[in-house]
Amino acid sequence: MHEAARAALPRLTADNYRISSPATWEHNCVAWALGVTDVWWWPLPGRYWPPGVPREETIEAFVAAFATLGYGPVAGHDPDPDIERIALYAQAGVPLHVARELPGGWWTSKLGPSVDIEHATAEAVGGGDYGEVVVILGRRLPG
Amino acid sequence: MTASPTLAARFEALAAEWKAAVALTSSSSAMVAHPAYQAVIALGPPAVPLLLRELEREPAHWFEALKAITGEDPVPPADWGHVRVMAAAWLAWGRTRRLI
Repeated sequence: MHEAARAALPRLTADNYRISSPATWEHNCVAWALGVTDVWWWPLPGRYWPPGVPREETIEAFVAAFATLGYGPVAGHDPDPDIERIALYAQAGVPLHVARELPGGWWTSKLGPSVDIEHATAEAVGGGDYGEVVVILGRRLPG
Repeated sequence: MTASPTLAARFEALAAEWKAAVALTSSSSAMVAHPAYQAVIALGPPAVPLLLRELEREPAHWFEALKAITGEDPVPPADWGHVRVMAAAWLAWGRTRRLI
């Protein structure tokens, strides 16, 4: 898995990521970033997509989908313990990946139907198959 | 129903190629558009028992291939994305038709 991941995501190195759970076809990066582990989110008919949000592979549609769970624009790039942040990656305007920031400042990504990993920065899984971070959104954590 | 050894070997090769190619892909559109996935669809009705057996073994996303080949869809929209439930619906469909 490491070899495939580093080939597709060339910024990953031996020091900036670790595998954090086994592979599964039951959820993808979008669901994982949103804390869901039993559903595959994608705007293609046949996969879960929030009701009322256009089934389009556009940045706008993904931002609208995340808004249904309370995510919106965040100010600044520094971690805030009260805000849970997610990053949307795209290439040529087409969304390809979503990651979520962890409390310690690392990020977590589910790699398609493969494993999920923790990575040191949001940018660590950019620059390859997932494109680059195009939007960072956040929501206030309860309590 | 038993597929011919030639067809089974071709299917296994295409399935393995597709799984390797989409191993890091979240985009269901990209998965379905992959040439190996489309080649599985092109195998036609004789591939359906193979697809169902593969689905029984692991819930990889063969749903669009099954829909394309059979023209049917036993998965109600309320279950879209619930992969285990979708797989169970297709397996029940196949058992009813004695395809597995």
